[in-house]
Amino acid sequence: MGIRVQVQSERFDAGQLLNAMSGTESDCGAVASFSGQVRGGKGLIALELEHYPGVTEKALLRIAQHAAERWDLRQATIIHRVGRMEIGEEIVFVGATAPHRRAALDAVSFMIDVLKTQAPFWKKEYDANGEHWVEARGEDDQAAARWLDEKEEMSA
Amino acid sequence: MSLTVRYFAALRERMGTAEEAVDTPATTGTELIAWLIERDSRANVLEHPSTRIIVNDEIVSRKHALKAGDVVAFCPPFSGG
Repeated sequence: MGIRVQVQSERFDAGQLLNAMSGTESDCGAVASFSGQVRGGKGLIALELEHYPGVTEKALLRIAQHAAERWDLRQATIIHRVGRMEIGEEIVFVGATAPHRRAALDAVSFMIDVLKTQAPFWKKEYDANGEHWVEARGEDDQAAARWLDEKEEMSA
Repeated sequence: MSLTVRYFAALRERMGTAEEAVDTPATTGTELIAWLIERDSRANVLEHPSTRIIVNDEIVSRKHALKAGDVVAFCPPFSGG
């Protein structure tokens, strides 16, 4: 079982990450991934991502380990950028490989849904009017709650 | 007792500092928030139920018992991904 988590300011190539996860285990029939990128619109110019160094990495590791305990996976990867990002740039990559597709797909959904509410990242938006912090969204809480027991929180 | 208090994102901007050393009689997160508000009313935002407290790298409840030397971080709701 290979787990890889990373927080970085450098850009990454989601295709390259996906290729690196593919074809590495003979018993794997499934490779699934999600990549998030900066969405333009509403006058947005750029995003800035802040995190809690050390604690964020621990939180991501715990999320990936949680996924590996819950599903039969071979690999789980989470890469998240911090710093300033322009529209269209990649923010996050989540990937999983597994013998079967359901495990890989569910593990990827789990990791990205839980990451949004359990890993200490904060987004600031820059637009023509200035800058403002992005507020957490209720629907993100609901998406995470779908995977977590009632009141359960994965500590950082 | 002496604690290191850290503030992140919107809370850092509100408090005007990322980190400070405090000497406080507070023994829990709740007491620390009350003490910080008494010192500077701008800290009233820490009372918001969505504010999370991370002590020595672990998310804890406000009732968590603090001890000397702890690093207490106040965090707005997370918004990564």
